[in-house]
Order: sequence, then C-alpha cells, then structure tokens
Amino acid sequence: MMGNSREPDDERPRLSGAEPHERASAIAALAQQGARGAWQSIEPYTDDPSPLVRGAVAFAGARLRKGSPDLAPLIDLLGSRREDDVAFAQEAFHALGDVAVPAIVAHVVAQRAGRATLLRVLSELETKAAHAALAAAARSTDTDLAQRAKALLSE
Amino acid sequence: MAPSTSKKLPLEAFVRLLRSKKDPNEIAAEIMALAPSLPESAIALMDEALPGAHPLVRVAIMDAYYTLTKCDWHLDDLDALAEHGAQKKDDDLLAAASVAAARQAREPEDTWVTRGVQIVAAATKRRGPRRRGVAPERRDSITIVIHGTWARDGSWWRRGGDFFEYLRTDGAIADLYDSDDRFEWSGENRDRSRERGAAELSRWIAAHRSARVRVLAHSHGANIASLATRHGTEFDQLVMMSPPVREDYLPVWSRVRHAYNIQAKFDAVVAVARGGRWFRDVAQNLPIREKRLTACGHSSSHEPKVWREEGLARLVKLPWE
Repeated sequence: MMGNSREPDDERPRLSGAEPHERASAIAALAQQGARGAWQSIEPYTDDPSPLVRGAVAFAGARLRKGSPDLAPLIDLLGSRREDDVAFAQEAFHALGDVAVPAIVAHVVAQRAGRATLLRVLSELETKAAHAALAAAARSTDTDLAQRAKALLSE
Repeated sequence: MAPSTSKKLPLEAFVRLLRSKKDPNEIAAEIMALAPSLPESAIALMDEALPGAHPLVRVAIMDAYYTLTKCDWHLDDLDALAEHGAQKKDDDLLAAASVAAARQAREPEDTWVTRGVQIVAAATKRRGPRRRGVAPERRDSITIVIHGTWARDGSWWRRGGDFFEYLRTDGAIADLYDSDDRFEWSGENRDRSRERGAAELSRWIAAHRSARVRVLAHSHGANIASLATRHGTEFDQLVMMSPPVREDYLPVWSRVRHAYNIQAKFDAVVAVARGGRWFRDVAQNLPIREKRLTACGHSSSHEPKVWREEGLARLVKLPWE
C-alpha cells in the first residue's frame, strides 16, 4: 500500500477567485483565523452575486464583528435547492454555535417559512443556549412552532 | 479480529449456552437476556446453531439476531414456529415466537400476555406473503454508497440516482447494493449521530455477510465508514469523497486495504466545517491516495460528469474484481 500519495500543494483560495467556492473558502478561512483587519477585506463581498459567498460573508461577520450578526444570507441558503448551499449554511451555523441562536429564534418566531430547517439546526447545535431556545419554542402559543420544537426535544 | 474485552465475555457466555444441555426454556431466557450485549461476531455462531436447535432456543436466537442486526429475515420462520406451537398446544413456544415475530413486524408486543386466544390472534393475524425468512448467502463482495450530512433524502447516492447509476454502468460495479434495505444513517450533524451511524453500519455489514466490502462515501458519510473500522469492520476499498478530515475520526488503517481521499479544488463546505481536507496534514505515510480535483464545490466529488472528466474511475481502479 502506498504512503499518502501527494498532490501538488493546496492552492490558497483567493478572495478575488473566479469561482464562488474559492471566494467563500477564502472568506471562511479569514473568519476562522480571526485575524485583525480581516473584516475590511471581506466586507466588499457583501453584495457578491453568489448567494454562497454572501452566506460566507454573513458567517464572517458573525465571527469577526461585535453586535447582533445579520445571518439572513445564511438563512436564505438553507432554503436553496443547491446541495452545496444548504450544506454550507448548516455547517456555518454549526460552527457559529450559540452566536447563531438569537437570529435563529427571531426567524422561527416571526416566520413559518424555513422554520422546520432552522429548528433542526437549533436542535443539532446541542448547546445549553440552543436547548433552552428549543424548550422556550415548545412553550410557544404558536402551536405549529410549539409542536415542531416538542418533536425535536423528544428525539 | 479479536473482540474487545467488553464484548468477549457475553460472546463466551453465548457459546457456552449454545453448547449447554440445560432446559431449553432456561437457555432461551438466557440468550434473550444476553442479546443486547452480544457483538457482531455472534452472528456467524447464530447461523451455525439455528438448524439443530430446540424450537424455543431457535426463537431466542432469531430474536437475538434481530436485536443485533435489525434485519427481519427470520420473520417467516417465527410465524411458522408460532403456528407449530399453536398446533402442538405448546404455549411457551407460541408465546415466545409470537412476541418475537410481533417485534420484528413492528406490531405491539403485548398482545400475547393476556390470554391464549389473543396469543393465537397475534400469531395468525399477519397475512400476505413475506420475504423468505432466511439470511442471504455469504457474498464474495459488496459495494455500498453512503450519503453525508443532511443528504439522506437526496437521490444521487441511491438506486436510480445519477452517481449510483454511473457507478453501475460506467464504473461497471456489479456488486452495487441496490435492495430496499440499503444502509442509510440519520444524516444529523452531531458527533453522537455519526458514532451511532458507524455502529449501525458495522451491524449492517455484518448482517449482509460479504468477504469484501467496498464503500464510496461522501462528506461525513466517509467519517461514518472510518469510525466503523473501530467496530472491527474491514474495507477492501474506502473511497472518501470530500470528507472533513478530522483526527478524532481517523480509521483503523490496518482494516482498510485501499483508501482514497478525493477533494474538490475549492470546497467552502469543508472550509467552514470542523476539520481539514488532507490526511497528509494529520500524519505522514498514511496508506491513502489523495486527489485534488480541478472541479470546485462540495458535491462535485459525487458528480458523474466530474468522475468522467477527471478520470476518477481510473484513480480508484474501477472496475473492481
């Protein structure tokens, strides 16, 4: 059996890359590193034509900036028909953890659209804050929200 | 493979029970009590013991088999044993076989406990032909495709799906598993769900008896397969497509004959997930071939077009013998 056979070294993704996955990867990498000044490089991509890149910018904003993050682009991605968009969004929410909980709660309380998917994200976070939010949703007077949350809590 | 210490004692106790000359009622009761702690290696012993065993002991073995594998292959046999018990007025056999059959048919299990009439009802109420209650013959090889997180409802990895059919036609994989009881896992993005999926995969593979097991697995599905090696599962081929590479999910390399890691040129999903892209970043000299595609995107590694254009069938040496 061969030892790990090597490909040429990984190219670093560039913010200016032509492919959305390259730009989104570059943004995610900067956000994960948490480097000072990274947001200044990322912010111009807020209006990128690719929803995947806009989702990555939302992820980076939540990681790098103070205050309530605007996670609407990530929430939009969860409703996408593209497998990669949904996969990116759910992994991004997972990586954000408790930071994402208030935005998720605000959305599921206000809207039915996307509620089931976001509640699933919430239940898979498995943090105390996420569990408390799910328990609160289960006590909601909105019966649809309460029933969905109860079902997830009972799993 | 040597069983782990924690699983060794139940297995030894099981072997002793199968050889025991004790009352069949006692043997059956002890097998049922032992069932939840038995390892997958008990399946082969069950196959050997079933033909010559006392009817009550057979019921216990079939019930233990279901506990271990969640496969209902013995349902018809249990129905037949229940009917045999009813004809012979053997209430113990009738009750035990009825309960075991009800459990496998996912019917309420308590129908038998009240009175004899209901025991008969439980045994005879099921109608219609069932699959033959026999386990499949041992195969030479089997190839399975495993989906990743949140992808259980997707189609690409199952019969009729584009990647699955590409493997069957272009890849000439003759042993691709396409029955309805295919392996699938919850797809939840949780460590414990992946660990549970790995245990389920090990049980599924043990139950499907194959000398060689080949797997093509996407994303965290690859980590399910890797974790399954810690349950003793061995793979002849393990093709990992866009896995998030994590140290806590590394396979037992000695249980993988040929391993491949196929990664997209850029993959934002793996970039944001916990983990890296390359096993060579975790350790050197691992027995794996790593390939970077020219295509971008997390799903590109299971797209037939990418497999054709980038010669991935050649990379993994399809068709496999």
